[in-house]
Amino acid sequence: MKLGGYMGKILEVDLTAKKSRTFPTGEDLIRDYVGGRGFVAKLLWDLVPRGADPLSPENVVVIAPGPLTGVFVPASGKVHMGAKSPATGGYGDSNMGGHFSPEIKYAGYDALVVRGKAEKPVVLVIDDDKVSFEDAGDLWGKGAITAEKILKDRLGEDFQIAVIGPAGENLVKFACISHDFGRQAGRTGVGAVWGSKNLKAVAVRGSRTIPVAQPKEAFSKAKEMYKTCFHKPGFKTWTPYGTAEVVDWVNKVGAFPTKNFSTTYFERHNRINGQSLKERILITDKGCFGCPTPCGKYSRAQTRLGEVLVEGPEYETIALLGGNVALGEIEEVAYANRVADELGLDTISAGNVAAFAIECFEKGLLSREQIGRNLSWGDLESVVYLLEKMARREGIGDLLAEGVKVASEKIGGGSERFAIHVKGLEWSGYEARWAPAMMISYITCDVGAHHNRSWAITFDVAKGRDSLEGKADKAIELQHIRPLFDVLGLCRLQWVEIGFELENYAEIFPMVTGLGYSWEDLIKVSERIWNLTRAFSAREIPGFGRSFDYPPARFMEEPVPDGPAKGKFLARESVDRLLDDYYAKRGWTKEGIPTRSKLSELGLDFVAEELEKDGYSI
Amino acid sequence: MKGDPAKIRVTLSAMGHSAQYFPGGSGKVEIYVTPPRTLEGILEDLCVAKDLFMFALVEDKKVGFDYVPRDGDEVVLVSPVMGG
Repeated sequence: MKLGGYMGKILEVDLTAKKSRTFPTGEDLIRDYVGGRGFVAKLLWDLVPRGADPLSPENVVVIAPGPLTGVFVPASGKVHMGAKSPATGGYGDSNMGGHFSPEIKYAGYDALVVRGKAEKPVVLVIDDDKVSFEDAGDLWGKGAITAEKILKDRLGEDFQIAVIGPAGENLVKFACISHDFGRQAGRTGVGAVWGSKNLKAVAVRGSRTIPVAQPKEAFSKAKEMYKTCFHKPGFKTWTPYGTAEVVDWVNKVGAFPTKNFSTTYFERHNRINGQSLKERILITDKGCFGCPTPCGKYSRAQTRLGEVLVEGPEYETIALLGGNVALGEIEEVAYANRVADELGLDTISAGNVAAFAIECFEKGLLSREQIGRNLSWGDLESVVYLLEKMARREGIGDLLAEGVKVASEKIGGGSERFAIHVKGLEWSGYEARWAPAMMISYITCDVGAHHNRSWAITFDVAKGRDSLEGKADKAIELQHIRPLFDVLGLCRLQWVEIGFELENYAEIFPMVTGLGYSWEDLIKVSERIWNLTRAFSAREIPGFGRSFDYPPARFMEEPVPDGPAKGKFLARESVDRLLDDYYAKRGWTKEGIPTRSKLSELGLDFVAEELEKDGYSI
Repeated sequence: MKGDPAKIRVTLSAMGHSAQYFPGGSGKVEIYVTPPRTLEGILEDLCVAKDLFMFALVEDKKVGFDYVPRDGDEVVLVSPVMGG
């Protein structure tokens, strides 16, 4: 099948044997999973051996652009990266922008599959058809941003590079993959999987043209799409602040993570908001491939620990390495951001872990002797110290590098109550004690407590924040739409932030690919993928089910102590009602496992057979 | 009401995902109000929660929800950013 948007082959690399081969991008794979996140999910299901240790050579890395990546569709620079997650033991993926994704297509591939483990640290270099394994001995131990710069100098500016930092090398469970000096695939510990394979970096350069089914029509539609973006009301106001703009709003509605989510209102929010970023540290904007609305910001910040240049900080970093550890100056957040980026740490999880450690110290569950110093809220030195320790697994950092779930199980003393995670993945930047739609979104997210599959807090505001009605339906609707962007290889911010209509994507998809899918067909694909990723976790995690979908006890039992959400919490009975509703609407069992009939409806009979083998009653 | 000399015309446009919660889901309404009425008051009249928006813009300049629109104003309401 020769379709537009696809290069027709997948590159498979065996790091153990230092060999590579290609195989055709299967017609079934394209038809049922389309690309990006869909390819990641299906290839992981097929290729990861049941029960594989996520940090063993058996685990498999899949890196996939989408069918719209790298052509002239606005903001078509997203790449999806997946593996069995070392953070959760289940399905794991993360995506990032920049320019890495289109280059994979230009090199001729619809996906990269990386297996095995190199004997020594390597850089995987893909130069069109030529695949080589370059020694990375001199790069091992180097920071992610430093290593990327060295590789750019060594290989040439036209190579696009994705790289891990010391955290990935040291198998930190929330290590990220970095690209373009500040874009990260941050979540689920995919960087640690690279580290476990001695894979320091992947460098790609390509010279091919991506075929397009109806080039004239697609080009004309894409031009119209850019124009529409530029003329949206408010377009001019969106770009200067980027995602940091939302800090004040999240604080105002009582959802801003503060001091390890002990409260949801941070008094110093106006020192770390979009205005502070713009007026005090911003140098210039930065966009990803084909982006009409660049949200990236280059900043320069001066602190008592020194000066840094950093891409960011983005909202999530401000929330978790700002409010959540009580850093109250934007310069300090930028400094911590840069430290985490260079170490190759996911700022969301790292901010959670640092806050957890500070609270443990405050409550006497970790001593000064165990930590190596005193810790306090709002103290940049404390935060930087913890980031360094966890990335290098030194001292207390060895325990913290496991993430808050494992750390709390070892520390005990009731610390599980304030270990803020779901399924082992730390919570991102929206507290949900007074936002049931956001709560059900977080706890049912397929990778753990992550916001990007469904962001539903405005639905709570619109429909009533104490009401549970319709909240599960909204989460499901968004869990199909939002990840579809990850399937297509697109950024979703244009749709979300400036109201760019979904119809545009529905219209251009067949023009690029030649696949006659309607938007509803694509949503069905997204639902298929959602069920497959849930089933992957059920296959890989013994006893998987409802008990893995609960939020931390803090959110179910501790009323918010102050601010706009004062007194609010979501009791366990309410969480159970949300889960009951969600599972029923999804066609899952009361334990949250996809039923045979739902799997059959989605063409996933092979999945049902595997789950039945595991003893699930579906 | 159109034609009532005591009222002024104000156009409200919602930018981004909160537009779906506007009356009719269109994200844009043209209304006639008796001045002086704050933006917050106008949204209350429309049964639209002001917390659905981060801020408002008039002629590309940020205004608060205490802003009192003038006749012919086109007010853009900006939805919260998500992600990062």
